[in-house]
Amino acid sequence: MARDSGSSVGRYFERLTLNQRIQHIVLMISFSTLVLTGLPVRYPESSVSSRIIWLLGGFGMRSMLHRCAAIILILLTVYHVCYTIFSRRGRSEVWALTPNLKDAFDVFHMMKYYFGLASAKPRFGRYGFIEKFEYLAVGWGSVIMIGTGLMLWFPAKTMLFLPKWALDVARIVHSYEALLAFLAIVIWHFYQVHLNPDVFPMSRVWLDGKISEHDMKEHHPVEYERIMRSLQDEDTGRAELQTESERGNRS
Amino acid sequence: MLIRNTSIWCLMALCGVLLGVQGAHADNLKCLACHSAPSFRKTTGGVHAPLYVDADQLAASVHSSKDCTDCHADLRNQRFPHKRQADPVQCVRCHHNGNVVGSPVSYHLDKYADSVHGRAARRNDPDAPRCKDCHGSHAIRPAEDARSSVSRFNVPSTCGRCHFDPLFAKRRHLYGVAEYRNSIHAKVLGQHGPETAAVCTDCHGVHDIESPSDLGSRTSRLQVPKTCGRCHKKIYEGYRKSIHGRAVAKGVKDAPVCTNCHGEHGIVKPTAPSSSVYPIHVAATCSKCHGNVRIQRKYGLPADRMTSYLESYHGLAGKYGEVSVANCATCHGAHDIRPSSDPESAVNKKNLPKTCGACHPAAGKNFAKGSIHLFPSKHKDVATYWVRMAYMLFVIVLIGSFCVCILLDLLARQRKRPRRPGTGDH
Repeated sequence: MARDSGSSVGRYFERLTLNQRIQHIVLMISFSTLVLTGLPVRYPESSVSSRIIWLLGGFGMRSMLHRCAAIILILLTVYHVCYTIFSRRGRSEVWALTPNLKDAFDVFHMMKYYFGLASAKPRFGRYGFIEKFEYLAVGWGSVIMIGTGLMLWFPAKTMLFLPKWALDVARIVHSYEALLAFLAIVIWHFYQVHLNPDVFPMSRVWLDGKISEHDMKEHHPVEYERIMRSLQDEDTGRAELQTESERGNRS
Repeated sequence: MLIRNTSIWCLMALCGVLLGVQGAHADNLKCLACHSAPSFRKTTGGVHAPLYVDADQLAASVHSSKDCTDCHADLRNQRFPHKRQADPVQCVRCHHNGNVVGSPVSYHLDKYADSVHGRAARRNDPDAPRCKDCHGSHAIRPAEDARSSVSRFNVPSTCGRCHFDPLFAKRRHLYGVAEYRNSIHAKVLGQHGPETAAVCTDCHGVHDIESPSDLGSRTSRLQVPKTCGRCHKKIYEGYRKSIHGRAVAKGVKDAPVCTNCHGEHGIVKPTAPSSSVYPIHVAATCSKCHGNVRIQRKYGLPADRMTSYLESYHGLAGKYGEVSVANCATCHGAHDIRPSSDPESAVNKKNLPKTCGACHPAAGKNFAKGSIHLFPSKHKDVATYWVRMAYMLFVIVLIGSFCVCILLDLLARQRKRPRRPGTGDH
């Protein structure tokens, strides 16, 4: 899981595989397109909205782009579900992202730290509660947006099963969940990966997938220690093997 | 009167010869001796007034068999050249009901005196048109003659001599008439011939023309539907049965007539983007009344109809220029609008599947389960209202906590920094 670069000065650990980075970039592109083509519909009074629609080439073009981006998001979601079920890496990641009791304590601990009642931040494993929360939020957001989005895309088909008012509710949900997702990204996610002083101007994990040993110790100490232990075990094991083979050679 | 052209006496003989060839009336020869010279004119205070009479035109006119003095009767027993100025010609000397000679008394001629033009003429208004201003003087041709100034084809430009003039429009506060030239009526007239589209006189009348503010006028508010309906018969039938048409029949002055939605002189076809009933302009046109608080209160119109439409996906897409989405008229109809309580109304709950189905194939009964014009409140569209409230609260709480956490995080960093300056937060 972790790759030791070999040098003791600049050791890096693999945090995201190429596959995961590509998933993230696809999500990023489809999400931004959806926001850009969706928010003008939520805020029609704004002159910015009119300008965006004009730049996109009219309302029909906006709708088409929005639906294209939606298809990409749907395909990505389906792929991601398969990825978490059928790949070993995916399964272990989902396991690492599942909230547990420790996360509840960590939240409590973090609050104590913020108010000066604890001297250090909680010690996180591979994923802290913030990252787990973000992952779950993307998951639930995608499900809600795709579900309500499909209802709005095919109103007549939806109304074969559901009354008109259900469609109205779907529109409200789609609209507010979109706002929530947009704000969560620009406020919360951007703070975590761009604006906070630890990573400013930007964490490069999403590009190269690497995390430095220093950052690893700082932000994921539990994970770091686990890897170090397993490396040590491996080393010991290798050393033992070596000694055994040496012994065999002698005899 | 001062006759400048002194060489006129020398030309007299020549003119006489020419006129003899053209076979004009012998009595007219005396007059044309002078008046057939194109340069014949009088000058008063530096202003030239032509006194020329085109003998050819006169000979081709409806009055070719008349003598000059039949009309210019005041000069009948004068010696020529006459010294005194001729009085204005009184056409009614012949053109009155019961004239035994049989001068044609066309369409409502007798009503000219009471018309808006006739009354102005009696006041000696300098703008008032007399017979000759529309019909011409010596070159009068029958209205059926395409060359006549009052032929259907030429009516707009004849009326337009005054009414298309911006200075006249400003002086008389009669704006917008000149837009007729760009209207669908003018275009069709030009392309398909004089019988195919409305000219001024079709709506305003001819000699009996009245101001729209006159209740009896064909262009007064309550008469407009009937006037337009003379040509647009089918539409008029639908309109008459509509809620608007019935209100107009009852004399409700706030009820919209044709011109309120379509415009007046500058009317263009509904498929032209500049039309007030072009799909994306319909909402704005209807909201002139349906978004007007005074009218809403007076007639008990629901207040939320415009806002709820504009907030709907149809309204939004329309606002951004999408013409294929539903506008007011798509569902309610254009001319045959009926209240939703009317079983024949397109927006009656029973008819909604069919109405919505025009755009949404396979629309079923579920289209009618819930409001079309959404106005979420505690009493109406309850589900939408509560879901919206809950989501709003959710967004505020969640985003608020994000902000608080970020602030706390920054404060915590700030607290640590002064103790170990220069080494960052770690």
